[in-house]
Amino acid sequence: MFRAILYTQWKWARPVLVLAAVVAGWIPLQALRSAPYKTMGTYHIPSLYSSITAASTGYQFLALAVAVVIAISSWQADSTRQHVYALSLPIARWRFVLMRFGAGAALLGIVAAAVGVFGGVAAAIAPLPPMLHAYPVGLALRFWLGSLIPFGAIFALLTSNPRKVKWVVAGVVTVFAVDIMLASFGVTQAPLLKGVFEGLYAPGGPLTAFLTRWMLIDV
Amino acid sequence: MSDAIVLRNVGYRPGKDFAIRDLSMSVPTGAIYGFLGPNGSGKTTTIKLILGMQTPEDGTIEVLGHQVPQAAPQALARIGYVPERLHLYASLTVDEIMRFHKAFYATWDATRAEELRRQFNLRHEQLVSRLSKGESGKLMMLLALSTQPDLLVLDEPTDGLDPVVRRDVLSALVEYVSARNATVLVSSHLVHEQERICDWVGVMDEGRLVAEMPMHTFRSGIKRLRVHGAPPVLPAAPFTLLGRSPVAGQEEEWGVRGWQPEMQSWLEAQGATLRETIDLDLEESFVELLSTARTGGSR
Repeated sequence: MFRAILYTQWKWARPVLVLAAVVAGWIPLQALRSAPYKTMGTYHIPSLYSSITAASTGYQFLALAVAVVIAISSWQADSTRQHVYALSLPIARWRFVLMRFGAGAALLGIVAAAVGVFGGVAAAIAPLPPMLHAYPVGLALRFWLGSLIPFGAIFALLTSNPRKVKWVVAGVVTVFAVDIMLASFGVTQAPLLKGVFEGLYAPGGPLTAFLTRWMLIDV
Repeated sequence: MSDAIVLRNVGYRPGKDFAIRDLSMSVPTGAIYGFLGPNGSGKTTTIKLILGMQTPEDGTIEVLGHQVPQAAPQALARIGYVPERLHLYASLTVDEIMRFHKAFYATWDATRAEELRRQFNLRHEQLVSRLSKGESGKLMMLLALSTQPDLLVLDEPTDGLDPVVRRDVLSALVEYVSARNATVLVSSHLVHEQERICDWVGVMDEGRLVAEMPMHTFRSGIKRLRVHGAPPVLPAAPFTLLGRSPVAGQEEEWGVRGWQPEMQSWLEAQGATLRETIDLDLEESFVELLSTARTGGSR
């Protein structure tokens, strides 16, 4: 069953996955090519570091874009036909949704693997200064886990009942609006919203990955 | 004989303007049950309730011995479903959708599926999105029959199909049912088609089941009588008076169910004379039944 579901999602997302894999190969090559050499055939370390830092943002954008597209493509075909086919299959709804999620996560893994492989190859052929090291596996893992966050969030939104989503969003917006007003009148000390964002981006928080650098080459 | 589908006092309101109200129906095992009703009468909604796609607000639904929607996956494993509109993934090919479908059914008969594919002239590499209406209907029927279901639920399966495709689809259905003794619930507003293949009939109108009976009873049970001189108020009759309408003078036309020739004496006892008994075909019976139901006549 999972294989059948994975195959459909692979077919729907194939062009995006191929493009993402190409971009995953282009990012480290471009970063290393644009970093100027110093002497003795090695890189000028500060320039290389700045180039790799810029590439880190490229990886983050790539992860976000691929996650969004895969989440949408995972659900689009079912949504178009009001889920009639999926609902007529002899499988519990939660299992079907879980398998669609798993298949999407697996496809993100393909792009993450491409990030690791191309990053590894690029780092292997580049003459790195002795104190710098390549971390393609770590980068790939970070890319995969990082892309799972927006994928999970969008997938959850898409799979939810639109009416319930509207109520939840309206409820959250109301709570935050009231909270900001109370804070502005000095009734509470700091808006709840601030605390929520601090929590999301705090070390170990779900969005920390997008604040830290995704470095292919580091000390 | 047990029932393949049993609905008891089911209530469901999908929107503001329409509701299924206190719906009770039974589809006997092995029957070909024609589910008749005009467009918008609630046939598709009832089918979605039977398949567990919607959750009823009141009442209980039992399909092949399983409570639905709680045990819908177990019931669906033994059901072949053909919806009124194409529901398959458009970007897959015929071969891919067959392989996808197969993955969910332990009972998938690959040999039969291939036979049906050839019989229906469907090519492996054809994209679902490029199939004509007739080909889509055939593909959905192929998928439904290849899982060897005990129950087939067909929602307007031949609606919009040309006569040749309709014949192909219906003959594949009849062949399967006669070989497997499967139960079929087939919804349609094409009354004559139902008459040919069904042995039970249920009639829906405005979210209510207005009649449910064996086809032969339905076919022969509703008649139109031309009656002269009947009093305005009648005592309890030995037949069901569906409706009466004046024709000319003292003459009236009655729609009746359960009429037998010997009941003429009851009419005479009321001072009325039977002028003519008109046999109705299925479509006329259907229209008579609906108009009676809508004017609040008895079932």
